[in-house]
Amino acid sequence: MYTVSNNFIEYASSQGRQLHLKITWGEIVFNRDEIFTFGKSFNGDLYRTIMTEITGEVEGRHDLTDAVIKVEAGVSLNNSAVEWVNYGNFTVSEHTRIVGAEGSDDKTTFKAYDAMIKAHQFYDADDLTLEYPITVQELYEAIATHLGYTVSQLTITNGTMAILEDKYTAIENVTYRNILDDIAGATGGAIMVKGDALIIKYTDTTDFVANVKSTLNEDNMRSVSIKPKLKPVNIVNLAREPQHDNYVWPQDFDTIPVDTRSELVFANNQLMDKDREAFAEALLTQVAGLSYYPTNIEAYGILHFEPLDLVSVIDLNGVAHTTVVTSLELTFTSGIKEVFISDKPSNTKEQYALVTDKSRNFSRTYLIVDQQNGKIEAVVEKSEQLGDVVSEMSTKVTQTANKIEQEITERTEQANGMYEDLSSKITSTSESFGVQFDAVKGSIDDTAEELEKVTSHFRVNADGVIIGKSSDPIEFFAESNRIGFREGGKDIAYWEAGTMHVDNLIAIVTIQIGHHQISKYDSNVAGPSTVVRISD
Amino acid sequence: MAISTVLKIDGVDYTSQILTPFTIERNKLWGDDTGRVMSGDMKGTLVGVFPKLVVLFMPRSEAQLSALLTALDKAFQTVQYYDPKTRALKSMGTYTNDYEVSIINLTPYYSEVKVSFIASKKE
Repeated sequence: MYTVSNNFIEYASSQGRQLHLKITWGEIVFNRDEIFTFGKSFNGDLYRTIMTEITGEVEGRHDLTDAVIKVEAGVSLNNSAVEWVNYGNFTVSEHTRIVGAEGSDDKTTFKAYDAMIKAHQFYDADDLTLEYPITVQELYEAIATHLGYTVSQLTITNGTMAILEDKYTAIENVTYRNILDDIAGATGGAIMVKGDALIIKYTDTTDFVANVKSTLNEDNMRSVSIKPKLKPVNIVNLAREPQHDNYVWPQDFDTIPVDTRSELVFANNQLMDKDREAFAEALLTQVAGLSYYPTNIEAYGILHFEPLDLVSVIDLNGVAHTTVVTSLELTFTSGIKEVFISDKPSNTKEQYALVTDKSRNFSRTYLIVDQQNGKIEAVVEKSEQLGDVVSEMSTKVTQTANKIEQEITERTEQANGMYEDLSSKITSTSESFGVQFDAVKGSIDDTAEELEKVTSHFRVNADGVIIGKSSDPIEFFAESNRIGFREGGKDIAYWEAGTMHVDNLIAIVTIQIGHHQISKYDSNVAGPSTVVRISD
Repeated sequence: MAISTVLKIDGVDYTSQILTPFTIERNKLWGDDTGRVMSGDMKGTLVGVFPKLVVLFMPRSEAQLSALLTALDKAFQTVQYYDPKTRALKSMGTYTNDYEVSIINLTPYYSEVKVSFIASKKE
């Protein structure tokens, strides 16, 4: 809770109180008369980081770029001195300057966050200059130092646990706030900023004793709804999601009666992921016993609550209910609207380990994603306890396997028969083809022999045709302008241009030239002779 | 002790033009969070007291009336009035409501003008 006086508590919850508001940056101070609207809110969780947001609208146009503004709220009663609560400093993330119809109508709207906003920057290992292995505490302090926070808590849960390697460089778009979320989970607390200090706020409902500042009753509540109480936490589950790879502590959690089990699930926490066995026990010790009533309250005069404050809500029957403020919304108008919400931790599960272990057994092989080294490792885990559902599924799987095997056998036999038949047909066809091939080959051989004979006596070249055995000295030739006989490569007799040329001519009986015929004549008187006659 | 000045508007003394009674309303503005808590008690934020002056003017001449109307027709005025609480003149920014001016005869003669001056800021 913010530090406030007893007068503040009294005035704030009184009829006829007067509200004051002061927003300061630099030399500029806005009082309530210059502040048109103002709101303050947070939406937190017990095992993560929490940041508070403010919004407002003030008179005049102002450049609030990166401005750090201080916010204080005050109450007074019957013209008393104003009692103040200091909400601290907020860094403006966005603002709009609005031009009015007249200068006096100008205004500036803004949205700002507490110092947790500084953790909204991407992680860079070079910023921290750490040499691994380090401890969780060292990582926490290194981040705080880098972001400009102080750290005063010297002992945090699991703070001495070793971190063997840089868990985040290999993961894209990791901010320091993401890492602080993991640290919050590993330590079993919520991380927030108070002043300039980074703090881990542990929520312990077991020893809570309410006082006047932490009590809500019929005099300062307009309405309240109270939901069923969170059962005392007695199980932690360091899970890998979505594969439901659970590491549950205590390991004999199934000996806890089902109706008293209350489990917190810390999923995909990079700091604990590879060393879940080492983190789990201390984590459970830290969170064990957490129990409270989730509530929804519209209050009157409660301006001093901070994230995760423990509050005692007394109903109209006078029964006290312990609750935890996880969300808050204050809206300053002509009065102030105050809404407090208490939710269960978002990682609260009912029967999660039991249910997801059952579902996991259907698929014994699952994956571990090693984000540090960029590997996906297949892990096969033997399931030792199969439930009825698993047995039934197993039977169905076996039956299906047998059916598949039988089907494969039948198909194999069919295939073998088809193979043999086809093989026989192929053999027969092959033999027939061989016979036919031999015949064709013989025919081709004969033809080739004949062709060789032809080509040895009959040749064609560019000049024409030559007839005659190539090995003989004499051959007949027919060319385009000459036809005749060649002997030893010399044309010995040929027709050309209507004239026959012969080197040597022997006429056995007769030769005729024009009208003269020369003939052999064997005379009885003169003996072998030649006669020349005049012919027709 | 008699009061010498009851009302000034933008520095001009209108005491001699005012008819009594000069009414000062002490109006309380309650915040929008005003209502009952679970115990049934009424609780709310007192935003503040916003005084309201209800004044009857009886200008003695048409020139005085004209000057008054000029002052009343402005979007806001700075008014000083006698505050019985402090027994002194008190200054405040005001705006005015709608008002009427009635001509009684053609002299011309006018009836009184009734105006409310409402504080723009809480006291």
